[in-house]
Order: sequence, then structure tokens, then C-alpha cells
Amino acid sequence: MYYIKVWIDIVRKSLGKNLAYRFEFVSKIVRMVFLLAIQVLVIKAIYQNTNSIAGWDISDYYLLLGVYNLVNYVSWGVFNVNLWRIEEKVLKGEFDFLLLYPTGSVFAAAFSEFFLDDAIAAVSGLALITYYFFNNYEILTVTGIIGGIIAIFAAFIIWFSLHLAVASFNFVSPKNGFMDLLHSLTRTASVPIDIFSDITRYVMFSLFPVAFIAVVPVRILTGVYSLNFVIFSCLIALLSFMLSVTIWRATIKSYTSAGG
Amino acid sequence: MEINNSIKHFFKVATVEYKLSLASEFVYRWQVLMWVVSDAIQPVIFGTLWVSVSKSGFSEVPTNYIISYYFLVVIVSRLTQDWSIQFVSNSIIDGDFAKYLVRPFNYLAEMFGISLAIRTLRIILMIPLILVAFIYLGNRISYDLNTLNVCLFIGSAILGFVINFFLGNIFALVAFFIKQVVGLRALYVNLVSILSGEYIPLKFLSHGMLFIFQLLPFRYVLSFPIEILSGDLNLSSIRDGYLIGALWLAVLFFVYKAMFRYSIKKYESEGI
Repeated sequence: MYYIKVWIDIVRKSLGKNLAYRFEFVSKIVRMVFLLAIQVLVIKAIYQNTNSIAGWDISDYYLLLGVYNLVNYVSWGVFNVNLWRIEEKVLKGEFDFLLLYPTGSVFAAAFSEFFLDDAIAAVSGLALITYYFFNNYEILTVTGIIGGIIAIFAAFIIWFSLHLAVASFNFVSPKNGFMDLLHSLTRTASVPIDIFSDITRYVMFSLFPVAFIAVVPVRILTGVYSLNFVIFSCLIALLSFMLSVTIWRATIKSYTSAGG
Repeated sequence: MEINNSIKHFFKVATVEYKLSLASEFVYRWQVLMWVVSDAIQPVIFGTLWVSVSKSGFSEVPTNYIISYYFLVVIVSRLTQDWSIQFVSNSIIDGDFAKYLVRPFNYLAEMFGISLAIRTLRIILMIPLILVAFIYLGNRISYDLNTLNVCLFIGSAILGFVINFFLGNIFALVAFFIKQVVGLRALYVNLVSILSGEYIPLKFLSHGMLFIFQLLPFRYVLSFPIEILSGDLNLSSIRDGYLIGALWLAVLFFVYKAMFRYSIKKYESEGI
């Protein structure tokens, strides 16, 4: 409860700051609309001569992109930007201030600010999901929807864990480029993973669990995957979170507060 | 004579800046290596996606063509990419741009040198990855390689870089009017990606959309060099492409000059 209260206060303060930069906010909304238009254009181009790509039809792809956009942009708004800025804080010696917070270093580093102008782009995800629901409500089941929602929450935890683990390497060696690499690799979650080879899919379900970001929630929602995958998602989320916090605690010991 | 001296001075400054920036880039070479690998991932994703489209019955699009296309996307995007948009817009926002106004050379010479230096290191680091990919993909890659095509490809890549350089610097001037440019910059990058043929090879567009895309300058930043080497274009299409590209280059040059002259009057060197 304490952390939730602290986070609500952070969101309140951040909203005031975000809305002071009104043009930035509006330009990000325009960008969101434009990105959604590009995504729809790409999907229409892909499906112009076929009904199915690797077992995914066009409405499944819309849903996949919707879930990916939702997880991606909400994450950017809530913690991704903060984790990206760890490198800058370490280099300038400003990270010390976060270590003094009574909330613990992980919370202080990851949730110190909320970025509405990034999170607002998640509306594009909600739009695609709503579009799918209106066109395919007859095939959806209550258990599938509940399972899908749980899998989406697990997706947030997995996304957070991946970014926390990679961001923590800034304590060992800043300016390593790992966050950029992770940012590119997580884009694989926005396409049907069945297009990749067996080995790649195996990795995406295990060592680098990006399949659980969007593909698994979508397959659970549409009833293609059984509800066992909800349990797998939760287990992977728990394991990845524990691993990322372990990596964080191990690497933060290397932080020397040099600055400059 | 004066124009010759100006051009010589431009390239002299660019060369010095190139050497300085290259030395600076080498300090963080591991970060640059990660950036090179990161930049290659998106073309791999889109290439894999389009290969699946081909295997799903879109027989007009041979799989080998798609693999060859996206292999070249990784290379050509490094050859034509420009980074001055970040440097220029950030220096305007920080209030740093004033220093360029008192220097005895045009800031574009510095940006040109920096852009070339970043590109040099990224290409050096990319070569082993390209070789590994080439060996792995082997006979799935095919190009229309003859002396003429290779020369036209190199020429089109240079044209693409210069067009991209001016596009980026024109867009960077927006920072004189609007300080909150992060969102706009991201929008610009996405616009270039879609219109240049990175997300959808222009060949797969409908006739109407293809006509529009071919008239815009973004095609020359990525798709045009690839189309030449892939053998998609006959000589008269290549000639037309070069003409349109050259025309765009002239237009962008004059647009830049006019916009800079107008924008600099608004500049008060305030940093935020």
C-alpha cells in the first residue's frame, strides 16, 4: 500500500510537469495516430494477397499489435524512461540521491517519474484491441478474457524485469549500448513469432521470454493456447522478476558514485 | 573562384571534424557495436515477416528477392543515414548553437564531418556481421552485379546520403521555433522509415501509392540504391530516378538556405 501511495503522488507531480510541455504532449499524440496508421498500412500490405501468415489471420495480427502497443507504451510511461536514464544519472553522479530514498533502490530508480506523453500512445493499443473485440466477440470466452488479462499483467512484469536486468549493467560499465539492443530485440514481440525458426521460438519462450509479452496473451484470449499458459506466464514473470532483482543487487555493488 | 574556395573550405573543415569525431567514437566502440547490431534487427524482423508472406502464397514475391532486399537494407541504411538532426536540434535547444554563428565556417561542415565519422565506425563494425550473414544466407542472395550497376549503386548511395543530410538539417531547424522536439523527431524518423521502403518494399505497394512514394525524396534515402542493385530498374528508370533525386537535392538545398535565413532571425540563444 505504501508503494502504491508513493507512486500515486509521483504520478500527480509528474502530470503537472508533463502538461506544462503541452506541445510535446500534442506532438506525441500526433505521433501515436501516425504510428497506428503505419502499423495498419503495413498489416494491410502484408495481407493484401493472403489470408494467413504462419497461422495468423489479419484480425489476430491487429490484436497482437494492440496488446504489444499497450504493454510497450504503458511501460514507457511508467518505468522504461526512468530505467534508460540510469546511465545518465550514473555518469553524472546523480544516482546517489535515488539511493537515499526510503523506498528502496529498484523503486526509486524505476518509478521516480511518470511520463504521460509516452503512456498516452497506449491508446493505440486499446483501439486495436477494441476493434478486435467488436469484430470477434462471438469467439471470445469469459475464461479466455480473464486468462488474457492475467497474461497481460504478467507481460508487464516480464517487460519490467528484462529492462531492469539490462539497465543494472550501467553500474558495471556505463555506455554499454545494451538498452538499445534490448529495445530492438523486444520489437520481435510485435510480430507473430511463428514466422521465426524453431530455435528462435524456443529462445523466445525461455531464455528471452518476449513471446509472453504479446503472443501468449493473444493466444490465450483467442483460445488457441490453453489456460495452462496463464500459469506459465505467471511463473515466467515471477522467475524473471526474481532474476532481475538478483542481477540488480549484484551489480549495484559496483556503483562508485564517481560522477562527471 | 569564390564558390570553389568555399567548397574547399567546407571539405577542409569537414575533414578535421571527421578525424576528431572518429577518435571520439572509438572511445565508446562497444556501445557503437551494440548500436550497429540493434540497427540490424529491425530489417531482420521485417525481412522474416515478408519471407513468411512469400511462403503463404504471395508468389509474385520470391523469397530470395526479399532476403536480398533486406540484406541490402542493413547496408544501405548505414551508408545513407545522417545523425545531424540530433546534434543540431539539441544544440539549438541547449542554447549552444550560438557558437556556430561566430565560427569562421558553416556548421554544416562540422555536421557533415561528424556524420561521416559515425558512419565510418559503424560500417567497420558492421563488416564482420555482414560477412557472417552473407555466408549464412549464401545462395539465397542475388543481385544484378555488373560494373555499371555497382557504379550507379555507389552514386545513388551518395545521392541518398546528401538528400538525407539536407532533410535532417531542414527538420532540425524546427527547433528554432519549437523547443519540445523529441516527439516531432521520433515522428520524423518513423515517417522516413515508412516512406523510404524500410517497412514495406516499395515494389509491394499498389500503383497509386508507388507513384506517390517514387516522387518523394525519401525513396532515394534507401529504396532507390537497393532497386538498382536488385535489377528492378532498367536504364531509363535509373536515369529518371537520378533526375528526380538531383531535382530534390537542388530543392532541398534552396529550402534549407531559405529556412535557415528565416529561422536564425528567431534565435535568441536561450537554453532550456
